[in-house]
Amino acid sequence: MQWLDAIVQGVLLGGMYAQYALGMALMFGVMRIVNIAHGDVMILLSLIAVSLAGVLPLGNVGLVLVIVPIAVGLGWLLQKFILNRVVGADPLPSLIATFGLSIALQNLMLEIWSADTRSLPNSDIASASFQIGPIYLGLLPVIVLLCAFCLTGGLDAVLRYTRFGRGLRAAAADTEAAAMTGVDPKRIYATATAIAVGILGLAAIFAALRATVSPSDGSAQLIYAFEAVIIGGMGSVWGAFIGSMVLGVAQAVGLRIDPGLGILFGHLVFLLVLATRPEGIMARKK
Amino acid sequence: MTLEINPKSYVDRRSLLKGLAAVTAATIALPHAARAQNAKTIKIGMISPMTGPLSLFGETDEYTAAKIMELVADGIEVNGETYNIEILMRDAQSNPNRAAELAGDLILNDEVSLMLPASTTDINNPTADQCELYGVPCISSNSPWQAFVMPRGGAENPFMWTYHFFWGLEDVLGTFTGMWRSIDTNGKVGMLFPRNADGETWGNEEYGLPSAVREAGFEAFAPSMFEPRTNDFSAQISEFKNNNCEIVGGITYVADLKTFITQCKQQNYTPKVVTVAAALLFPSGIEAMGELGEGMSSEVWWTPAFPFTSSLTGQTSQEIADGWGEDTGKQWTQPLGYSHALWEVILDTLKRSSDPQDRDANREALAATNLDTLVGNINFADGPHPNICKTPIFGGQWVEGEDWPFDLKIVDNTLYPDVLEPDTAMKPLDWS
Repeated sequence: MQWLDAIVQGVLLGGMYAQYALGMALMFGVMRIVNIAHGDVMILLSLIAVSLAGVLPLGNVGLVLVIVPIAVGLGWLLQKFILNRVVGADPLPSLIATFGLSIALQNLMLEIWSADTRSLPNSDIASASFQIGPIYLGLLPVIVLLCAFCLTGGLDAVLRYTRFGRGLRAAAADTEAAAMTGVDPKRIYATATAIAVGILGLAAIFAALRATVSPSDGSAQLIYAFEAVIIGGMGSVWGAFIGSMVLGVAQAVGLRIDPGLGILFGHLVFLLVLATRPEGIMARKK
Repeated sequence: MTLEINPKSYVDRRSLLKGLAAVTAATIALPHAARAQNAKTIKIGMISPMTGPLSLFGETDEYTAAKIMELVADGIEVNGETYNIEILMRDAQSNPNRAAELAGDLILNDEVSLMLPASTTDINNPTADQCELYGVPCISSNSPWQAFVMPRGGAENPFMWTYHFFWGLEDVLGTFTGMWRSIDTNGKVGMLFPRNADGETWGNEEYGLPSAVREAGFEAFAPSMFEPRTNDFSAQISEFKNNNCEIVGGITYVADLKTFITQCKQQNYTPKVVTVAAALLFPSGIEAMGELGEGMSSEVWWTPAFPFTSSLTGQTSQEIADGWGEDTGKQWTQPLGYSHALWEVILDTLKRSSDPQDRDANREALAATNLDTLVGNINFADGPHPNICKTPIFGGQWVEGEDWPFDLKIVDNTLYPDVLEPDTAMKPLDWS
């Protein structure tokens, strides 16, 4: 029973990682942009949400409706004015640009919000739970998991069946050939980053409800997003979702074996996947 | 009197805005005529975590240094001679390696006569090590004395140059158990320690909390240390639940505590008492807990209710706290009292020194300190270790506040009953 509980809690934890990983799957997995500032952008959105919650009586749903459009706009600007200038066959310039952006964002946030730890006012939803047999399921983690599931399905469908999705995959595969066939890679990339950061906006609100945020927290969660994408397989949106579940369950099971080992277990599973199946669990056949 | 903030070419967040403002203000306040012409200058190095995760400690250091600057604007008089004071303030960015580097630079290039690594183990220890190496008197605070002495190998050989005043783990234990005894529980304690420098010290099986808690008659359950910023505490919660722990104690940071408490509520685990060090020190930490934060308890080492007054300004603790509230618009925090007391000790040392520009003379004066400060009497003669002086500690509980969301009330004075009376009795947590 203890192990069943560990797996259930691990899947719920995976839901949170999946929200971090989806945007990463799009940027890193599909577009091959290594965005080091991924975590910092999320913290920025969380802090904006916390500040907004202090002045506007929006409620959590209202907050989502405000923050996600801000996030979409931010993502678009990020790609348009920074990443589009450095993106190309060589992954290094975008890596360096986002590394610099990460440092700049952290210090900007320190200047504006100071180092205080903040969180959204603890509404009932964050601590509510329901019981199935001997297992307690937190309401918020379940909502997070469902949101992650729907977002994954939606994003996968967009990539597969829409004109934009085809354009994005084409531009990612061969930018010049795609441009010759009438796709505007820079515009497509800007839209894709807008979507990726938009998802992060949702994750940001959940993160601020669930735990606390402070300006230097961004990089701590970044690593899980990277790992989830790589475990799942580059380029596969469902892969990122499955990768997050694997990571979450590995951590939760590791924690039950010894509370000091949980995070290590996650990393070990990641290394195991890299060693035995480096293309990832769900990677398409070449 | 000059305050120099990072005069090198690098620009940090504060040197542009606040730093420039502070320096400008200081210059305006000090027309050149008021400065002692041709007077000698005493250089004091100050290293503080002004940015980064520990910056809540650095916040009061920076504020207090500016206040002290105003105070000694005309210099200080030692043995009939007037000296200008120059404070060289450096930001360690909460990074121990950087603190060591800055300390070396201040000692070798700026030739400071005295060093002040203001707060936290991560900044104190590397700075103090450099001071020990190069022979510079150094005074620090804001970390348990074991964390200052043990990791630096001071247990067998006392330090020559570095002095520290604060409480120790034995005191925090006495305070924690004092609070726990005042509540009706089954005496079973679940303990949380992170896997970092603090967690290793506090959770140490030899001199840390778990064994001491057992000796004090409680039953302690300490799962192995967790990685800071763990996202899932269900393993610890299920262990505490299975053992029916009605008390949760230890040391955590705010982010981890919030995750833990939210999951406790989700998992229907409702301990009567949650007493943790570190996370609950600062008002912003307790505010992050939201409603669940009310009733949580922590150690208290300075509050506006402290009965001592400043040897520099004669202000009471309440007046210092009020000044902070007016100047910053924020609620007082505990390091404020210690930031002030450190400067009391420094200026007192310099005034008693036979030659305040000489490191040896300053060391002798520092070692002979016997001063009543804002946080109590500082005297290294009768501490638990030759370089240590212990200061008072109490148990406090956060309750719904009047001017601020939460107020910290003293609920236990087991160790220092003469200093302060408790404000109220401790109450069990209300989880509904």
